Amino acid sequence: MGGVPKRPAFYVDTQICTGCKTCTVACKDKNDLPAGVRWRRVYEYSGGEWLSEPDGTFRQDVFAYYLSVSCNHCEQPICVEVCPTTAMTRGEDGIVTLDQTKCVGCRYCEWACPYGAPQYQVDRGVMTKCDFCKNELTAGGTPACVTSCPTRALTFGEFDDLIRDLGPTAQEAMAPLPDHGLTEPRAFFQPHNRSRPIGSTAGHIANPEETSDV
Amino acid sequence: MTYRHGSLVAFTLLVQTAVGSVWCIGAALLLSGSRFSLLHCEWHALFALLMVLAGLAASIAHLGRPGVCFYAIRNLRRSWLSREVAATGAFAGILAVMVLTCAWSGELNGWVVLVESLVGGLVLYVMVRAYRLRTVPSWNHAGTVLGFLGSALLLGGLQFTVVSDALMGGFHGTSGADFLPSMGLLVALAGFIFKVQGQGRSFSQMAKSRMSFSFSQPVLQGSGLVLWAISVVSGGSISLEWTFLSLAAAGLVIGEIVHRIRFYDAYHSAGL
Repeated sequence: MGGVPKRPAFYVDTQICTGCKTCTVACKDKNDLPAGVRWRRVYEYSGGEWLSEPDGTFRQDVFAYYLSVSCNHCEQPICVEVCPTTAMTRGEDGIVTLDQTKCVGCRYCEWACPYGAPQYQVDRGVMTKCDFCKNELTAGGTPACVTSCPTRALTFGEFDDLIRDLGPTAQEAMAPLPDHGLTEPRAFFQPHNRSRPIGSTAGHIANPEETSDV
Repeated sequence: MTYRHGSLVAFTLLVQTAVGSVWCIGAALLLSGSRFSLLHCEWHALFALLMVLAGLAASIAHLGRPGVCFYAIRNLRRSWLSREVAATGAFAGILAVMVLTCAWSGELNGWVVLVESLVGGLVLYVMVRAYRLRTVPSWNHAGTVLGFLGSALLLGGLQFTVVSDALMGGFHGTSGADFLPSMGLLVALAGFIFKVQGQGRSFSQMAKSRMSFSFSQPVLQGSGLVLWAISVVSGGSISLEWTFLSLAAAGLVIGEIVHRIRFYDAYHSAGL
């Protein structure tokens, strides 16, 4: 692949993601991120209960699946909308980038983003975020997270190509993701066969300490 | 232990106090005309200005890079936060004009007060819009509007009454000023009702955590209003009036701080 795709988008196949978090580590390594800053996070969503059968026995209904989430470079990026300094911008290629020289560190984008993409770097007093490894794309490479994924659950491609190849179901959100209509994320999450619909309270994020500073 | 939103609690409450007190100045001017202008109008405006300046200073304290805080008005075209900062700055500027004209001529210019009251309304509006994010359902409801409006009326009425009382050494017997404590109390009561209504709308969010803490606000402020009413009717004794008013102010202000901390703690994103 040569140069930056016209509209790059991430694709996560939750059916084959094992939750190994190599993508998180590769991103931190490539971008030299300090402790507490995670541009890509892997959420473990799990739940389930015991169900009684007519014959008096019980069976389990346990489910768990993983969602690798970074900035989704949304079509309607609320971070760009709310940023008071114009530090957040969306380029011609649709990649949302942050100019740290303009950022005042108000953390308003952190509140607004429903994906937790903008991350605050305490020692510098500014926000940081995924830039889709734009320098890698320009050089004809791939984002570090994509390169590192051992199961190829995480890939990326041209937005229109992905829609054509994957079909409309890949654009459907699942719990615990927010409704896609809020920001129109340019990312695809192939549903897991046990995935729960958005808004479902059947499960919970089982690894909050790995995804946010709690 | 540090509380991350302390500076924002201070900023919102101080600015809302100033907005409410400017509305009270306008109401007093409307009700009593030139008699109010002669009653230390510049001090009322000065205290409101100090509130706004203290609020702005507090808001700068929460920034990661306070040295470049002026960048925050670069996105007036799209960001409600930018508009909030700009509107608050304009509010402070007009308030400074009010103080200077009052000190110079000894009278309030009704047109300046009208413009400042409208700008105060604008400040509250943009402040509400800044918090009504479509991705934050815990703030994106009518309770935020009623809560902020209620705080402005309640704290503004309180500041107006305390400043009036302090300047005049008690209201009773002061020609043309007898209505001021009652007016301040009525404004604060209206604010309290708005706040209670606002909590009713966001009750499900509030009930999710720390029930007792969230309910301490209406209890504190309700008691404060009762004490304030007693201070109004305790005519004749200045020391008694001040004792009740001080206790009332403590209850109302602590209640406001509790309520605002609850507001920030209630943050809940629509997503992850």
